[in-house]
Amino acid sequence: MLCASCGKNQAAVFIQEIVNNQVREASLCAACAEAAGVAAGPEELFLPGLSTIPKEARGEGAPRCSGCGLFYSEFRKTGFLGCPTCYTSFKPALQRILARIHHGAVRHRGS
Amino acid sequence: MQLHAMEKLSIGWTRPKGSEHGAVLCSRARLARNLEDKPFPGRLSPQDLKSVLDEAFAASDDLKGAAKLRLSDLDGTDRRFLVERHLISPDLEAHPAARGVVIGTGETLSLMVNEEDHLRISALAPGLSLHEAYGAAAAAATVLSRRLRFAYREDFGYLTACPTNLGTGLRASCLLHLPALTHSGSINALLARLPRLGLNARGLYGEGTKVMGDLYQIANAGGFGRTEGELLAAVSESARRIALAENKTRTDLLSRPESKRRTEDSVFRAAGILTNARLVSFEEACRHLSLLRLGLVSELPGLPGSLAEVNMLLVQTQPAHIEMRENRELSPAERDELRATRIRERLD
Repeated sequence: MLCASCGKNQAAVFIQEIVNNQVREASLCAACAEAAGVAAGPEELFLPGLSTIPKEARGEGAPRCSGCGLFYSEFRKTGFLGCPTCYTSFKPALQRILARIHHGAVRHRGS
Repeated sequence: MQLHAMEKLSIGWTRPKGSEHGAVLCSRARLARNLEDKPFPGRLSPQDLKSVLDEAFAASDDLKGAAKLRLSDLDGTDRRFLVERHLISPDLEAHPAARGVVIGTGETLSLMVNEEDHLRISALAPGLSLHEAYGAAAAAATVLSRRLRFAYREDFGYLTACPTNLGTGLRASCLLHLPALTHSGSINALLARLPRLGLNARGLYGEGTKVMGDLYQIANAGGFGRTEGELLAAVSESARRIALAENKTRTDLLSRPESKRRTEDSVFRAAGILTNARLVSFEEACRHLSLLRLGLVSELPGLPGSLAEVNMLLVQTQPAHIEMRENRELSPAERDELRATRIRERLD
């Protein structure tokens, strides 16, 4: 079987990986397998929800955390907040995001 | 290779335990916590990261028998060894500066410092035992909270760098061995149902890693809006149902004459290679150990080894483990040869 990536060398490495809760398979030669490394990025992406957030909350009016100075737009790009105070500074927008990514949950119920 | 001595220690969570151990290898509860008065690690300077590490290490003096490791003091093999032992994540291994890990006795408890969050407390237990794992992690969090103040709000719960981990900060997961579901092609339909239950699936070393040896991590996708008890119940129940589906598929494979012949042939070929080959790569070892494990759990007569030994080999055949045993760096070919020798010795 030839490598699925370069189509030149014999496949020597047989990979299964989970992408979006589906198992995908690939047969690669040693060189392409090494070049492929591992898949990057978190699976729990919520970026599709951000486009429906109002403009002022999307950072175009430059909301900024009063604690660490993170711009809301930076959070939108990376998916990571800067400090605990971000949850206060960006609360309205975050509440909408949380409801989307946590299946409608709006409040902590744990201990 | 400072951690050379660890390689000889037995690993508590590899013990076959409980009625579901044929499909559920182990369970893990992970709690994410951050200090209330500091930015999250992604926004800290090197000096501030070190300050968090020093604070966390000081607080972990109260965790009995725990060993503290600064990752920058360890070489690459040591760090990869810790990943293979499931004590640190690949992300922490890749960024060792001002990062550390605290490891409890028996390696069932570990505390990562300065990964995505300031603290990631993790407890492992054998078989399907999420409540036992959670109890250990929660107890450690309570001990640490005597000296550290965690970022918390009544409405949002424990505050985390990524909102997906907000709330309880709990990720409850089970490592499942699903060879029958994988090879029968049923696995994708099963995994596709997980999001509706608030769950997801990952590969052997967690987020963004490959499936190896037909081993899957099933976990809750988020910890916000549900209580710890609800999350543990959801993951436990799903793991139990998936284990049942796996067992049913195994039984089906071994009850129909044609598929029984083919499955037994695959299992015994795998056993043949494992007990005779002179060169075995890690990927190959995973494939064949998976089949051998399937045969042993199904109680096919005449197979070498035991379930406990195969569980241990799944850990000990990993690349850094092979190097650690020899206490020197090895070429891939040397590793493949030593791995083959190790497997033959274990299964003999």
